[in-house]
Amino acid sequence: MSSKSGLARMLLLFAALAGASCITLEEAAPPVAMISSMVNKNTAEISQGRDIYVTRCAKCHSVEPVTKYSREKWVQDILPEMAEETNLSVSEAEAVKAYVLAVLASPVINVR
Amino acid sequence: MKISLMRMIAVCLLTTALSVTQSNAADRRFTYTYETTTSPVGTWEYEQWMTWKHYDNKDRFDFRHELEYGITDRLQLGIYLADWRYENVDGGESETDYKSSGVDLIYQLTDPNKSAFGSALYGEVLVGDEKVQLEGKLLLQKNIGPLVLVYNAVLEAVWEGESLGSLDESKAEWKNTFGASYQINPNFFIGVEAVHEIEFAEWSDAGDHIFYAGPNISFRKGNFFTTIAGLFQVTDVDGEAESQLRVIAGINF
Repeated sequence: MSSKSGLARMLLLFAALAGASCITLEEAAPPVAMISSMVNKNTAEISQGRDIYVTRCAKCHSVEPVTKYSREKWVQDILPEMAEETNLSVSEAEAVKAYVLAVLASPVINVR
Repeated sequence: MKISLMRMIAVCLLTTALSVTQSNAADRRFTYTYETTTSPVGTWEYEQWMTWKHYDNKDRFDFRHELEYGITDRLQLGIYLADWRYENVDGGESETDYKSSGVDLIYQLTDPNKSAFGSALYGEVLVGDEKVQLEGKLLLQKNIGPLVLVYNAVLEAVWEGESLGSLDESKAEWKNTFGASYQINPNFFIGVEAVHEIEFAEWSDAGDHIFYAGPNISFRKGNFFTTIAGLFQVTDVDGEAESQLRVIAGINF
């Protein structure tokens, strides 16, 4: 296999992978306006949490769908570990947690 | 040569796969192209670079020891503690040289997950005992779910001589680098990288267009990451590396 044909095959593979698994940012991390469980919640904190989730949490990997993991997994494993790795303050970590829990509590936007 | 390069990649992958099971990790999906995302504010990262270039008559190994610091969430400082080179010419002659030290700054203009595409500016200054080098880059990035596409436009200016007081040779280099990386899971990425470069001796005489392309792979776990890319020259320019392999390993603290 020549270098050129190998590269072409690899690019085709990427196109297929991207098409097969494409999930929008809004599906992975729903904007606050799309979260039905937002009623009576601290909107400002949850908005800040979403902002951190799609920026600082996505510095090292793609934006993960919030509903891919259980509430227990988020609270016990993922959030504490990621907060430490991205050097989040206590209030920033709480904001991300509030956003994740709000998404998980929403009955309408479970994408996976 | 391509077979031995692939063997080298396989050994690196195996070593990395064994090591990440016990370590921790950070960013950088690519080795020849920068992403527009920067280190989180207040975090330090140490990166160890190794680039192996195979020529028709010699092998060259370039090493870089770098510290990165997130000044803000958009501004990152890089400190190149030392760049040095080991070169082995066929026939037995070899030499090791210190090349330079320096700094770079990356300023993120737009975040790839909050805008249509991410963008950033990169500036670098390197100073050695025989050269001064300035480099500017425009970084662009598009995120499509687990797929990340990046492009860097690079302009490099180099002044060289026998000492810093007599830098009588100059050249410019224009580069375009590309990368695509797919996230298999948050710890494992596969991709491709490509580099196009053209040199202008004394800022006027354009050299040959040189194009490299090849696969890359990246692992991360906890505070540790390793990214490896093997590129092959697609063009056929004499005197330039036929293939090159770059490994970057980093740890956050």
